[in-house]
Amino acid sequence: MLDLIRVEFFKLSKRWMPYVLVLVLLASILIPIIVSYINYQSEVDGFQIIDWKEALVLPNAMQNIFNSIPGLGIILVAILAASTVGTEYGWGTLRQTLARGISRPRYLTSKLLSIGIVSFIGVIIAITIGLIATSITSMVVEGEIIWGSFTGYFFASLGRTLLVLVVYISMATFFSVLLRSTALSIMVTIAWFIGESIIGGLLSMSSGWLADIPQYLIMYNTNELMALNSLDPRGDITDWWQSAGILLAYSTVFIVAAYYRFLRQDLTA
Amino acid sequence: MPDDIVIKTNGLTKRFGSSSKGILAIHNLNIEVKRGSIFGFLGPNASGKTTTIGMLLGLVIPTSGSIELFGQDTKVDLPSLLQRTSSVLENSPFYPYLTGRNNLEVFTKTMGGLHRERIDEVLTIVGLKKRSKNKVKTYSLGMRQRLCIAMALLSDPELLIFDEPTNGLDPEGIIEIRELIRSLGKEGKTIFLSSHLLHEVEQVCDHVAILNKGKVIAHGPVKGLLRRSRMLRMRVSDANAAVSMLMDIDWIKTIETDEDMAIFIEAPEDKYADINETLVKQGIRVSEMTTIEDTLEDFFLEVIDEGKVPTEKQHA
Repeated sequence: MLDLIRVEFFKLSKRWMPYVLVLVLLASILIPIIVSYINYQSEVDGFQIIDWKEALVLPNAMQNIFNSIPGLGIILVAILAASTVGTEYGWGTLRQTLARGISRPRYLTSKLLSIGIVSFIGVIIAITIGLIATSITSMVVEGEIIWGSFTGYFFASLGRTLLVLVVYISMATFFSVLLRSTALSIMVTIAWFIGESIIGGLLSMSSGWLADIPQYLIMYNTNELMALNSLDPRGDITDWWQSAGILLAYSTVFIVAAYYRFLRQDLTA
Repeated sequence: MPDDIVIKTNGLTKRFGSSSKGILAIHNLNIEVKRGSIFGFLGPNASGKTTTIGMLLGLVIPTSGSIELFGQDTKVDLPSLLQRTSSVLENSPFYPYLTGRNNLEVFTKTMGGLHRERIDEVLTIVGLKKRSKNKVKTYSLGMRQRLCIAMALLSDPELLIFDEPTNGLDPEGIIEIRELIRSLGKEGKTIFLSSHLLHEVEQVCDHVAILNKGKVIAHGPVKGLLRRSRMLRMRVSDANAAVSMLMDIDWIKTIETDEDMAIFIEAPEDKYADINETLVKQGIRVSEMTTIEDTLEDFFLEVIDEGKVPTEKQHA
């Protein structure tokens, strides 16, 4: 298994795609910090000075970073997962690999683990750079960094963020196996993401049991879990374990479905 | 199963789609490939060759029937059986963004690692050493095919499966690859060569199975199939008299004439002199006696012509 994961890393290291995805994620974190700093500098006596300051000073600044990762991160991990699995169908390299005596469960497991590890590394890089950037801005703006109970908050938020990404990695992997296409699986994953928001919104406006359905959708539970990343969470948040459980259940269903399909799939030329 | 059978299929069938509307790609395929033989799997496009290879390699799941590789059912432990096998797949699948060498390294690592020297060796064998540091997306189809063959040679497989290995190669490359396959056969490797090129199979293989519309319609030694198609062509002074006389001889299997009144006789070769003597004794002068040996191409065209050979032929 380690050999296969190493090979996956080697292949990913030779592609532009993972670097571009990390750069996009970094940009989504650093650009708001830079914009906030420019605004803070130019509006020292302005009305919104407190807002700009909060975006630049730890631990509040970290809250913004954690909240920004899932939104874009979902799309980025979907692209990573779909591209890592889907291209193997398109290039025919999947057939080449399996024909050399690699079992299908080992192959798919190595893919999932590699995507998970690369996503984890990408998130860690983005958060570390965000942390370094906001540490610098904290020192510049406040002259000190107030850590407080930051460590516990940091790791809990990181865990919640990764859990949300796991659902979309599982979903994109499943659709890549099902549709055998990178582009199609990215499209379907993003369509699910958008479709859930629309359907969830419509259902929540209805009454009776229909109004309860959104509570079991991915988007709703993602939002609930991400709301806990706030330093001052709102009072009506569902128990975290319920949202985490639902997201884990979705992940499990997608992964089991991906294995089920993959083990029974005819890999024709 | 005897130890000398490397591939054996038992009633292998593959249907794509539902049983009512689906396509029956392979129907009740029964083949045996002996150790050390170069087995040609011959058939026109869309006859089911690649599907069969897919099933042998575990890429396509059979609808029914079974496959034995090296005497073991592939349902038991296919990965370990495939590690004794190498394949050259159609369309030469590679990572386009990696160099030729990188591609070999990737597949080497998935197999648990091999010596770097072996990569150099196989690149030299297929004549790609100089281009090995270029990305595969810059390769021609022929170069990709050579790289595919290089990859098949990386390990020391007992069985090599080639799916249309000379596709896209220039004439020089085709000759080289055929020589390579022949030399691998001489080394004692078992070769399974799928091709739609009759002369390729004829030149390279010792055994052949002819596939058409998912069914094996003939199989046996290549020379056996050719020998069966051998006929005697004669030109005589009175064709009608000769035919009526020869019709009475029981060891003559068939006798036909064409529009030029040439006579075609299927008879044992050691009786050709007797035919000549019989005709001359009856006052019929013989101006030509020629042995016509049908090529495998003739045989192939004959057997795939639907209706002429409705059932499977066995040529021992």
